[in-house]
Amino acid sequence: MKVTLRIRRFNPEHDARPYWAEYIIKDVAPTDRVLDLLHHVKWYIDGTLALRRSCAHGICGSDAMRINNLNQLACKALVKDLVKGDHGTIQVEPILGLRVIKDLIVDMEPFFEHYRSVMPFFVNDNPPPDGEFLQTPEQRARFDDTTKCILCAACTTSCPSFWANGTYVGPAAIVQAHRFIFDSRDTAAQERLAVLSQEDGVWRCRTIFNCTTACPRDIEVTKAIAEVKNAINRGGVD
Amino acid sequence: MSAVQDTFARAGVQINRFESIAWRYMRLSGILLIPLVFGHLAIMHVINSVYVIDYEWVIEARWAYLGWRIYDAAMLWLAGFHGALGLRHVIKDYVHNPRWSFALSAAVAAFMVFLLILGSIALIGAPFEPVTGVPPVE
Repeated sequence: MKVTLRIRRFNPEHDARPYWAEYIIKDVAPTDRVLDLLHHVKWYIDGTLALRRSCAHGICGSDAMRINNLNQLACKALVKDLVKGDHGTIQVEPILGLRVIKDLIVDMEPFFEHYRSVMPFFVNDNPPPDGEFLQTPEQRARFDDTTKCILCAACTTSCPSFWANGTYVGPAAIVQAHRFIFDSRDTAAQERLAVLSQEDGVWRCRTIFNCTTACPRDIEVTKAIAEVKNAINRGGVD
Repeated sequence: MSAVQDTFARAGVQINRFESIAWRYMRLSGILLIPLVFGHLAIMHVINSVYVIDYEWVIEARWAYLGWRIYDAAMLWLAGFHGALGLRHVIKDYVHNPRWSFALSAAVAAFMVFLLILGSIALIGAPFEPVTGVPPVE
């Protein structure tokens, strides 16, 4: 099949504003990924195309981009799910809400700044009883979903509240906080809830659900945010 | 307590009660306003028309009864705070300059207080029987 790849390109050294560039790629297999098409453009058509990718298998979270108007990982988006028939167009652009550095590469620093603000690490200075902290399967299940986050930023950059104002901590940071807040072994839940209870914390979430749709790991992001809201309203974790 | 927790405690980061209460208020008032507003809409625009609704009608058919005054007062206060808090969120979203954001939020709060006082004066001060001899407004 034949695919027209429409890429939002921008090089701040030459371009006054971003523009759409089109590349026609032949002999595309339906099971090819969008990342394969981007590689084809970069390796055989135009080497100046800039994009991030690392593992190329949906684990590292480097290649989140807006594909056909939905945030996805380029390494997980298959052509057959985007193009019907023998010829079609796939549109690729950088994730929204973050400054574009070049082409599909955005400045992730504001995203990671919010991530760091929620203490995304295990806190417990007590000596482990009998050598390790034990946890029941039920206690583990409480935060299992949010352990799957790969920090690709697909959720945060699909959120209209984040688009409107980047001071909002964003879904990804809340998911990361959720992972530790509901961990029975962690002792800093109150501090994280305090951070997320501020004006730019969880209250900026309007339950639009874009984040849940965008998550390539199928995390129930909006549900996790709601659980954090409820914990704040109750004054702590059960 | 770990060094990290110490740092947060020293910074005085505590659960923001106002935001939590405001969030719950928006949900509760939103639910309560649905029957109140649709009831109001039915009474004022579907069951009755502008040809029926005048000063005498409002006093005799509605405000002569304390229940209707409480109904209207509930709608006024619930909607007043609900709308003001909603506008505050819109301002926080789109006005990025902190000074402008604060000034606009303060203006919304002042306007809401003015509307609530005006509405409350009407609801509390209106007579329970129409005052006769008042010349009709041309």
